[in-house]
Amino acid sequence: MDSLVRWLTEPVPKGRIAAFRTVVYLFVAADITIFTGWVRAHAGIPGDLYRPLFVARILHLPVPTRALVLAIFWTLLIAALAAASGRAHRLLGWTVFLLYLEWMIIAMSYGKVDHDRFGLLVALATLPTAGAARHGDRTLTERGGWALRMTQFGVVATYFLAAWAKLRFGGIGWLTGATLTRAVVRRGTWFADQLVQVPNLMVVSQFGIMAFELLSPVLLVLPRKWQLRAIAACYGFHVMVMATITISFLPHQVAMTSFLPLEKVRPVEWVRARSSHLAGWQRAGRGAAGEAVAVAGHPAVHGPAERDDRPQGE
Amino acid sequence: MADAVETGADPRDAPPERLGRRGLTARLVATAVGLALLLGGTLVGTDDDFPFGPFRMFATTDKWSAPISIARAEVTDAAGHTVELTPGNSGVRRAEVEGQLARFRAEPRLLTGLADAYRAHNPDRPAPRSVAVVLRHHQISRSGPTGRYSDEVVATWTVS
Repeated sequence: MDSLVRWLTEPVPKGRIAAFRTVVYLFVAADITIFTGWVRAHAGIPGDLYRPLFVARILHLPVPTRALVLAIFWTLLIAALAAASGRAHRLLGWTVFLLYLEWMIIAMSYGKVDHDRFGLLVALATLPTAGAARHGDRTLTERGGWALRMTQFGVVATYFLAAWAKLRFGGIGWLTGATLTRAVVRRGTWFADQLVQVPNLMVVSQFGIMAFELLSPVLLVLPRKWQLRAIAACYGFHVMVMATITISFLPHQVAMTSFLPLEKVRPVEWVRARSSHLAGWQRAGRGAAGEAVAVAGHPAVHGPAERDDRPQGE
Repeated sequence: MADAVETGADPRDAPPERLGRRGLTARLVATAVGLALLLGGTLVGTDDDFPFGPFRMFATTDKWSAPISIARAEVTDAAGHTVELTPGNSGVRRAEVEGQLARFRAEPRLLTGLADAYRAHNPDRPAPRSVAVVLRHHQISRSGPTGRYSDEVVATWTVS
């Protein structure tokens, strides 16, 4: 039990939480503006096509009018952009979570429910509890560890429980049925239209998808090196899905970054290091490429990769 | 130190921030409740239970012997010009039309909602005179669609 609890709250660097917050909240802003912009279009659909979900009915959420949808959109957009900075992580985090959940409830209340954003919703629900975090901070945090672990759970559950749902609704016959062929006829690309003509390739692919989804819990317990490789393979799978049936599963892919050492991606630092590196060359008047240059507040470095002189684990 | 190496920690950094007993208990309870809802949704839930419903994307089994049916909604103006509804021109997604086929079949009057959605997005275009929801049945083989199909009008409504 103790080791399970330790695993659930395995500490992560605060810098990873800060980076994950930036990624997730910027995605929310992009999602409501670009990817689920059709939710705003629902503002023009009359109320009688609105089929409120269970959660909307028990909470007595109002029928979305144009004014309500637009008010949620603008408040959510501003809150998400502000939250991406990492400031006021609790207030802004809960605001974004509640508004985005309502946005999704509206989105799914017109006869079609999407299943690509459970992991993202888990991330939004747990990030406000992850504590304050600054970019680049190496201090380890158990609060942050739990938030990331829960998001990883959400990602894996999306795969594993999708296999379960296929067996529940489609039965074992799903494996040999025409489901993928149907998906291609519905929304296949030119590439998919070629593949679907290869006899039985779609059935073989269905076996592959089922095996992948049933094995997905392994993602949680693989050694770190293999875990990262497996996550790369998952991204590869989504590239393939996008290239064939144009379904991006983007919110899920964003949640999947919870597996990655995001704290090492420091675009602002890299730009800063590069510009002060160049400034250093100019000041020194030597300008010889590759020569060690002292940067203010740091020992001499040869490039951005050397800015962090301390050992890196991964 | 295996854990520390795993997470990229350094002994010179500040000690890890541990959770207090209360914080830990709250998180364990939240984990258990979330897991229970998720499993319940997958076992007996439906789409209505979002966000804890079953992950049923592409979960139905399509038979090879039956055609693949794909719905579309379209509006026709007084001049006989027909436009298929898309999220771009009406905010209506095809899957939403497919999700409400039974309602449209039973109550064609509801199609006025689709016409209203189109009008709201295209105030400058000619107003729709009629709305139709059509199913196209594609025949398939083990080597993809055969190219043969037939159309079935599920419901029509004349806008008054």
